[in-house]
Amino acid sequence: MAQEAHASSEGAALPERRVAYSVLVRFGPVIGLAFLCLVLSVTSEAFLNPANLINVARQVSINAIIAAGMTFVMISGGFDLSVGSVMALSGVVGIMAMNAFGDAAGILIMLAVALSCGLWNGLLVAFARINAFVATLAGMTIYHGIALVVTDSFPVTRFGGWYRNFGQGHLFGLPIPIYVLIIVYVVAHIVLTRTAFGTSVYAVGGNEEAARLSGINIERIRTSVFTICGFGVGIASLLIIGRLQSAQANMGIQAELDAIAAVVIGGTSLAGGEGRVFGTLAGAFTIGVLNNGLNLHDISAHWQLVAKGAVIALAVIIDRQLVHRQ
Amino acid sequence: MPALLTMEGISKAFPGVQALSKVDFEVMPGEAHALIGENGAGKSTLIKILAGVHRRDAGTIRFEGSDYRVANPHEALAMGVAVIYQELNLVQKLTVAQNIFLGHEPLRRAGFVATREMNARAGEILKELGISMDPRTPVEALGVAQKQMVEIAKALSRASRILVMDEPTAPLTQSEIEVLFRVIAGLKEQGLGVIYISHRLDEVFQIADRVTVLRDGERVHSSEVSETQIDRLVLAMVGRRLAEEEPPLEVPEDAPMVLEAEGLADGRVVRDISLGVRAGEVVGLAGLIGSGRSEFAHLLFGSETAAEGEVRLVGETLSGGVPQRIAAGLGMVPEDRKLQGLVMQLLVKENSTLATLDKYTSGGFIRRPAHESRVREIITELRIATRGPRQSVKALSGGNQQKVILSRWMDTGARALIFDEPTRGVDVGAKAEIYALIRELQRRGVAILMISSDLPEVLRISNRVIVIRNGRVAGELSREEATQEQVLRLMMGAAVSGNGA
Repeated sequence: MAQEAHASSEGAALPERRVAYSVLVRFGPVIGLAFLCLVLSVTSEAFLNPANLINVARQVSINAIIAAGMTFVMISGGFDLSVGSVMALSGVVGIMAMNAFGDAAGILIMLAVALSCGLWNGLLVAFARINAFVATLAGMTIYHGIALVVTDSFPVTRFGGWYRNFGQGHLFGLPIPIYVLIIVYVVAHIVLTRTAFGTSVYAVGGNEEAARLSGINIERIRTSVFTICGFGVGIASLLIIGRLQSAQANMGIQAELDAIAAVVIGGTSLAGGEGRVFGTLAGAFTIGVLNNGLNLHDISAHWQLVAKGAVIALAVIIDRQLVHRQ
Repeated sequence: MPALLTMEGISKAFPGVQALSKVDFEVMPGEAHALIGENGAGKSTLIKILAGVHRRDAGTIRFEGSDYRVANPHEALAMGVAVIYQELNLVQKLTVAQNIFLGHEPLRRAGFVATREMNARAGEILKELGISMDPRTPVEALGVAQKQMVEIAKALSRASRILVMDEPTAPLTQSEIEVLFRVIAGLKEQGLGVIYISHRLDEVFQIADRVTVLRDGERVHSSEVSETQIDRLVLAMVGRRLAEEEPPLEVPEDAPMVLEAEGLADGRVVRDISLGVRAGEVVGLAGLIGSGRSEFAHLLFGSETAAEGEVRLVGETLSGGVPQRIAAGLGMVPEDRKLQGLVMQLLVKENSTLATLDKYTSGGFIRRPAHESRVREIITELRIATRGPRQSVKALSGGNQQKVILSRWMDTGARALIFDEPTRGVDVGAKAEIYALIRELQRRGVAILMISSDLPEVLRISNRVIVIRNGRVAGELSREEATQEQVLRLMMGAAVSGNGA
């Protein structure tokens, strides 16, 4: 084609090595996960057992769904510390509302609560121009506090009801959470890569000024990503309470750390403008598989924390190196 | 007398742009050498090479008779090269003396700071500078001028031999400037070399012994200050290549007014600007840096809020921000490609349609085939050298990146476009193509307001030139009246008569 000939004459083509690096950057998280799985499949007989793998996927699904929303926020250049508290608040409200109004209404209410928490975070960041770290730190405390207030710090329970299927149900032999996980990721991927909104999220995170001068409504995008993140947390919360048949104000503590870890391991830049949800999925699975592997090898939960931290640091170091050479 | 600093054949390229090519620069002991040029001419790059921030691609530097190689600013400082940037580098919470000796505090045997000695020595340095200031004052309590003095004292405490000052007078009042100049004169007497960067040409004549002008990364003028004049320097800064190419298209007599500004002001730089651009007309907006030309563009586009005045497009008063104005038919190519124009993480196709993505979506989803085929057409139409819509914009040259930004406004159905420095840092070939594109837009009846610090460019493609000075319209010249001399006279006005801004 004409423009391609033109391009090579000006040396605009990428050198091959650069291409190789950009492929490594893109698939790095998946390669890392594959490597981890390979090691575990050699060192532990139980790892490749289908029951074990399904169990890992089910456990990972909660964090992965939260991390999907977090990916939106972080690509836009933001940050959300409040996800754990939103999970607790929407969970306890969900159980209480279902007890009062039945499953369907209760689920709608809990999702609305989670979405509103995200919306509030977004409004603070976008319109009041409060730093995302501070705004969501405030949110984290407020939502946790409200959850304590409405439950008087006692656990709330609901035994029975079809909502439990979200946590415990199976379909064609696979747990429902895995289906939810797949749906969430497919939708998130399509929204980020195939819609004008998705492109705007990248543009706002990559260069806010350029996005603004192109007529993109920065405030709307920022508010939306936090709202999406909140909604995702609501879904994750439904999976948890469905499994536990109860909720309490202190659940979800440190959920933000695992979610952010998954996003970061997945190669999303903290500076915004870059990232893919499937990277995040690989990140979430890396954490889950690592925990599972250490369990299978009878290594204590305390060491699991150390290992998780080391993996986060390692992933970011490798990613920075590759991006730098690219 | 041997030179204190000799830089020879300094070249430096950044991706997509040759920032410096074979620049020579020299400073004698006791000399103040002014370095001037428009934004992007390469002044900062040259200074950053000297300061160890950037590494040169080619060229040699000799300092005090020996080879000068520094890997970072710390080493440059140790060698005796101190740079005072516009953004002062002081720790607000520390005292004057603590700042002056930061990193090389006089110590007592046990490793504690000898505070009394430090204060005494800081006091001596300040006294030498002829400044009365208590070394124990916290820096945050000082004004800008005094902070600058602390920076100078800091350089002296390091026994620096060369002091680079980047626009030191920009934040100062007239009397503070006089104090600064006295201090600089004193430094020269001590045999220090001073590199003085400024946009205020009258100052160059007051303080400097020699002056070097950079343009597009090349040294275009260098002489003793006593042997040159202000208009020769301005001419060197903005270029002397004369327009020989085809003249701009004629604007029909009855062409309707499209873009109008009336009494626009931002309460800071833009004081009162009214102008109009007709359909198919190119109006060149000339003015020195700081005249308010870019700020005016942002007021038109709604990316900054006007304090006074109004903007009309085809007779309709524009309100609201950027999205509303784009919808009304306005577009802008901003001054800084990297900071305001491109999203480097995104691809060519996304960058070139960032303002028009809605055109290629249905129900929120981007129609990929339609989107990409339109981008492919744009690439061909604008002759953007790229491997295709899916290439990263990072990999493109400066000229092609600029064309990607221009292409954003091809499809918005814009009635009026504002181009702020559309050809800055762009090679000659891409420049010609951008001019051709402007002609094409003109033919389609788009009203174009073009801001440029490249004077020959303004004269070449404008139907009319409006000159801005100190945030006001200094004059308007028809194509026939607009000669370099006329435009320069209007641009400088105040600078020539010497009463400053």
